[in-house]
Amino acid sequence: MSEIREIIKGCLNGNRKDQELLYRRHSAKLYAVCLQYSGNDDEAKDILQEGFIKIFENLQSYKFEGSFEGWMRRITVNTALEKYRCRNNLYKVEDIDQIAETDAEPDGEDYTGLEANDLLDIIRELPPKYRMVFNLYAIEGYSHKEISKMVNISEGTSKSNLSRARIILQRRVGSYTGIKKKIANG
Amino acid sequence: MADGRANIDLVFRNGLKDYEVLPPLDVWENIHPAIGKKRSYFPFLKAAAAVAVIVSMSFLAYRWGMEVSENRLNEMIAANQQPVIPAIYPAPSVSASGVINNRKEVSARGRQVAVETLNVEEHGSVAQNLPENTGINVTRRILEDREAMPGIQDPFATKYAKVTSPELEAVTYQVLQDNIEIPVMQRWSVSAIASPTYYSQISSSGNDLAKQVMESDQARASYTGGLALSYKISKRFSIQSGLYYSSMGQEVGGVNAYSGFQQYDNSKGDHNFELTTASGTVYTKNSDVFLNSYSVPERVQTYYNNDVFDPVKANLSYVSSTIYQDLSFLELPVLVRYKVIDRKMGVNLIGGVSYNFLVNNSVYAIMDGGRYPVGTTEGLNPMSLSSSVGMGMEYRLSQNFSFSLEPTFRYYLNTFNSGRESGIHPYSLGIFSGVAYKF
Repeated sequence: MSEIREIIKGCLNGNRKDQELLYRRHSAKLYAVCLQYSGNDDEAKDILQEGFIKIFENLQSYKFEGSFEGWMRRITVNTALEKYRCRNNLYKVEDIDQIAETDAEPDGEDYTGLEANDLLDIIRELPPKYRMVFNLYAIEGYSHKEISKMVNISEGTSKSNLSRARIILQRRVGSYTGIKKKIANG
Repeated sequence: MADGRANIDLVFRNGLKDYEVLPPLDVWENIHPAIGKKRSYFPFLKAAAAVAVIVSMSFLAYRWGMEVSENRLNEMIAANQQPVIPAIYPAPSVSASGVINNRKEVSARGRQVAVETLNVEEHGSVAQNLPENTGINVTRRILEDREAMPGIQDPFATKYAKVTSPELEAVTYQVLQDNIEIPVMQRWSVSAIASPTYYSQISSSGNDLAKQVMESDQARASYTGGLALSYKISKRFSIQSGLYYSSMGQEVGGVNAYSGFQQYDNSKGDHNFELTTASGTVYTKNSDVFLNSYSVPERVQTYYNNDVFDPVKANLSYVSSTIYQDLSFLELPVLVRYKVIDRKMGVNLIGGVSYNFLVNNSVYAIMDGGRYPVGTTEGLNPMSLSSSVGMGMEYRLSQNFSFSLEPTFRYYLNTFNSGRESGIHPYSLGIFSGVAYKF
């Protein structure tokens, strides 16, 4: 804790080495968060870049209360949310029925054998509005009431989007595990 | 099925919990210059303040050293000084114009010098040959000292006996005030000043909303400039006033502005949204704007909240997530200046108050590089009072002109607004520089 305190102080004093050290230490974890919230790599890069600029700009407001990593994650998620809101009108939302037709049936509840990168690929294939609600609810732990304010949707829409996201994810996870099992059995 | 759905949440939550992916190398290359650029004015302010302090301290030390040396020298002179014996030391000389000058020091202290001037050619025209504007009081009298002092032979009487007239007329000049030219005190000065200013705020309120608002609102670099008039009361004290124009602004982050709301605006009130900021509450004057905040939702007060209106569904155009607040003031300062060091490079202490009159109040967002008007900050006091403390250097460029550099801290005694955020007191740090003309 004292080490990160020193690094933060160095960053606040404009020390380039400390700034780079902070970035090197935390960028990989935050980039995974960015990928989780974005549909493509360029968008994830933009979120990471803007998120880190905000982290450095607001470093003086971090009061060393609570996890520093959690604080950085919140800023990154908020940046992703801003991006989402900016581009929301541009997204063409995929219809749930079409998804249902093209996806394989869920393979029970056996989700073993899935790697983190598989999960990331699956979550990134979700339509943006489902992905955003699922991430905020299931991963970040926000309530529907909070999500409705953050994303500017009603609580009902938030619940509905989450439900649809879960259905899609279950089917795709089932599909992934089925394929993996087939590969494993030869 | 419900368990299964909850289970899928856990699969992703746990599966992605510690997942890391190395970002592309060029991301840091883009972050690095951006953060350097943003913070560049802070080191400048710190460096300028540090230079001012170091130079001021150096001159204080220099002056202290000089005073110590002078005191020691005076003590040494006093110890070695012999009793003063009044005497006349003739030192005759003949000028090119034929005027014979004979200066006689009558006091070893140098306090009083009697100068005898003998004009061989023109009796009684001594005054014409005196240097002008020397501040010397001239008294004219016939010296009879020579006859009155037995044992002392006047060399004039012997050496210049052949050219002397029957009666030599002599003039005594008495030099007052150490025989030094006394400059006329220049009491008035007019100066043009300018300063980059950094504003921030201190919250004495325990209100959670005020704290959250202060965390999200960021002050922008501001400036102050104007004319100052000062009057020297005494050698070291002067009083200063003038008229300054100061501009300050802040960025309100985490508030989304949308355009295209006018078609949905059915309200008959004068504004649709109220936005709480550190400087006061913003009322929207533009009926086309829609505001909301996802980070601090309570700061946006409106009938068109998330439950009744969705800007995304209504297909409003997103403008930005930052609102800019600009305030400008005309300042009337009343400052007292004390000259700590009165030399070519002087050091001043400054303190006083300023009356700040609000002259501009605008709130806007940036859209396509231009300003998209949002409204105004309401409840602002038309006049606020601030206190100033500073320490500055003054460098005398010539007899009439001087350059000054004064880091000044300013604290607002009353808040900008009298509303619910009244616990927030702004303060600022500025480095005033300017050129003064003395007369």
